[in-house]
Amino acid sequence: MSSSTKFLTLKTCDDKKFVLDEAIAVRSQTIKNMVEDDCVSNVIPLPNVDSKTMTKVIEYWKKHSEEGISKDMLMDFDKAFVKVHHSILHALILAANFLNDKEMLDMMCQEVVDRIKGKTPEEIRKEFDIKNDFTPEEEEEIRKENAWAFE
Amino acid sequence: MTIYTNINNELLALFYLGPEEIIVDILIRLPVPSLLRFKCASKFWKTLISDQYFKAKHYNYAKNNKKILIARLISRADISYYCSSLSSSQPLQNLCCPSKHKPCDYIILCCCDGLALRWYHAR
Repeated sequence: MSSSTKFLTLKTCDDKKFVLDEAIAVRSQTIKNMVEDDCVSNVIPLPNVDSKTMTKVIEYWKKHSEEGISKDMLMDFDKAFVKVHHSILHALILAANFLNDKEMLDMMCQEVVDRIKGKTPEEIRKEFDIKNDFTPEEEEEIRKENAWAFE
Repeated sequence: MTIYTNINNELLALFYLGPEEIIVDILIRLPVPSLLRFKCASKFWKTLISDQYFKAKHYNYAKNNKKILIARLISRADISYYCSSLSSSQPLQNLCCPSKHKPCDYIILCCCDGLALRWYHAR
């Protein structure tokens, strides 16, 4: 069975262009809506995504669109894919949100959760640069109320 | 809903993230003990986590991602409890006893909405 492949050109905020098979690009609900509404002329601008992040997104989309790829292989790929620095993870979450790729967004959010769920209040403060604005008495009170969560 | 508009800027700085839905999206996935601990981080976190709207979202997320409680009998005097999402991508989660008692000192009386009522019977 043969079908003509249609290509879309995506332009990131730093003016880099990506040419991508339409069948892959429509993993993004945002792009899919544009294609379906016939809003696509030549180039689709992605004002919220930079080229470095988009390269990662496309790597993910291509892998997840590969024919005959096994579930185990995808799981291994996903596991390696999320092992990135905080800043890249956050950029990918923003991109997945803008592109409206729920599957990717879910995976990224879960990774943030896995990274922070075991942390203590002190570690969370350090991690996100939060100023502790409780008095020692107030903090002690909350700790007492939720003592079992600290065991 | 209004609470999130007021605190959005602060959250943005915290997570280096944008839209408020994403932040809530992340927090609703956290287990309850983590959220209770994070209440101590700052007044803002306490307000956010204590908010009724957030609690409802957290509850609904958990409801839609069903997990099962597994009790593994190791010996007559030793039981381990695990939580499983039935998905191969999520490992079994060992459930600790929130007290100094051993899990085998409890009988589960009933379960409802993800909460289990356990009865402690001293030997």
